[in-house]
Amino acid sequence: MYDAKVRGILIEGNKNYHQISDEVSKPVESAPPKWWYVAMGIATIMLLAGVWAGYVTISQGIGTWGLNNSVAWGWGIINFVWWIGIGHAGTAFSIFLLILRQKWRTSINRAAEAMTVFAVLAAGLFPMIHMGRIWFAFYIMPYPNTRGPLWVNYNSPLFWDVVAISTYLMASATFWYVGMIPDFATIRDRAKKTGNKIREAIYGTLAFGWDGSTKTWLRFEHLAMILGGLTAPLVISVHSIVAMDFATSVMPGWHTTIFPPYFVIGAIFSGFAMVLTLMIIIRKFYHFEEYVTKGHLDAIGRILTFISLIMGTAYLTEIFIAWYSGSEYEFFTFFKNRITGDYYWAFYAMFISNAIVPQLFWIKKVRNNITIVFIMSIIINIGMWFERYVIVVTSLSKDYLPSAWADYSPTIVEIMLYIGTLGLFILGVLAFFKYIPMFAASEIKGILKPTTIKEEQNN
Amino acid sequence: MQKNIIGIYTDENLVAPAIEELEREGVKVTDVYTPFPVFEIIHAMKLKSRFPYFAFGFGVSGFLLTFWFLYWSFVQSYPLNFGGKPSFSLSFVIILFVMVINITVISSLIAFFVREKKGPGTKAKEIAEGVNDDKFVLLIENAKLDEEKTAKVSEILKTSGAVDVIEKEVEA
Repeated sequence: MYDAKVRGILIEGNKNYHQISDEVSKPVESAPPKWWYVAMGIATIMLLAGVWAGYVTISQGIGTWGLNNSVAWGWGIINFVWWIGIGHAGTAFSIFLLILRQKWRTSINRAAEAMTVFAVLAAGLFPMIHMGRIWFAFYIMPYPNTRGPLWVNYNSPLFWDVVAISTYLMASATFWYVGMIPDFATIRDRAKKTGNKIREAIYGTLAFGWDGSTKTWLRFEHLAMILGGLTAPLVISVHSIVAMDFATSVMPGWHTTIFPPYFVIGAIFSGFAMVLTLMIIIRKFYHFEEYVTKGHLDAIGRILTFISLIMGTAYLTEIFIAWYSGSEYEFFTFFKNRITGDYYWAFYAMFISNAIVPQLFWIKKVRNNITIVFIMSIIINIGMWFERYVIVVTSLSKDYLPSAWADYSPTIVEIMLYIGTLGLFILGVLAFFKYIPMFAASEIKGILKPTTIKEEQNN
Repeated sequence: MQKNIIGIYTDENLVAPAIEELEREGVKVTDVYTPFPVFEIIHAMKLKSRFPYFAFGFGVSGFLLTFWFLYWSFVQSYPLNFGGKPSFSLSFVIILFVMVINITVISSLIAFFVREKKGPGTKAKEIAEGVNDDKFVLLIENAKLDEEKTAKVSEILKTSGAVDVIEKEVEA
């Protein structure tokens, strides 16, 4: 329950509990719309392209990528960081707002968490494939072996990545699943009523025998708070560690202490943008306008404005420090190879999309125009991709030794690999639309009656 | 003779006063089945959970386990020389931080499902229809009540706003 005087009505349409069960369960219980099949087909083709690229990479080696001695990290790491960033939104959204007791999260958390899981899965593919010999992937696990036993290097940020990302995937996936159990029970009961045996069996298994007992609810609430409270610091640590992959090296442009916070905030920024994209699609195509209200989109828009200001500050700070530090290598990277030079277009694509375009959200009319908001969310996603491109390519292409300078452009294999992960993500999201209730119905029911309205009724 | 008495409500705000009223009559409510957590009901039933203490315990065990493993494998079993840097170093902190979270999350999940006796394939208790939809179902299980008392309980449930009251005789 929440104070309606502060936040307004969260769920419009004056619904009762049964209506919410009906509407939230409807996409699961009915045949998907035509566009869903079309989108599924396109996503499958994209995924197959990725499988082909993966096959080429694994069977022929990393030589099929456009990498060279200087630019040893290319689209692989760019896309890895981009996906991990997107994967931060779900948890950031759902858990930070849970801990801050922001009740408007209930309409958005389920989709945001779903997105997290698929984005982290897509991200995890890149380091695996980039290893070259993927069949030795298990070497990254610390286990007693016949090679010494030789343990992994606990001082390496790359190993921290392995630990942090696998923990993050596990924690966010289980948090997502646990939250779905009561809604699976709703679908199970509804299937039983209509006599749909298959659906009852499937969702009955998924619901883990949920019966809605108050004793269970009490422990469930505690579990949610414990998982939430633990995963929130994980959000910070995962992307700090990804930032340390860069920051602990001695490359100009990477070796800065600003990297961990700058990466975390960038991740949350790109993730929120992707949440916005997804929520607008759900709202539009499944007619959930009363659940994802303009108020929700407005709130996300405000948060994006705020984060965008931090992003702008971070970009400017980096440039300022490059000059103020007096390090000629830092100065060269930022002033000769980013804001001017060969890659200036990538720098301005990043700066304009992330720091300038979101400032339009200051205007209420813009926040209320769903089409513009949708386009802006896409622009931010592209801008965040360019941020990683700028960081990776500008620093690597021109290092300390001018004779080693090299240009980089991706090959078709790298591009298809990226398209493949996009396909994987879209497939996951589409399956989520069809098979899982898109809103946390039990949580929405809990916030349906604001405390203020109840007080008025009592008086 | 023992009885199960079930009161079905459609408004969650009526349940907590009914529980308190029954308590005053000396009747203990076994459980209430609801579509979402209602804090007034949890409060009225005087339910408490030790779950957070357990989770803290899991965290401490996770810390000790991880630290032991890191120390054993990296300092004792096969200490490698990385440019003269110490084997026992501050970078343990990062792995410890993540692994404490990892172990606590997994243990808390296991503890929850073991304590609740729930898992894939568990049959749900069927108390009344619509529990996971829009009904709030109050259950008094195996109440040793004489007829007069039973009538009184039904009366309390009905006057408190229950839309339906069901009595079932069960074997002791």
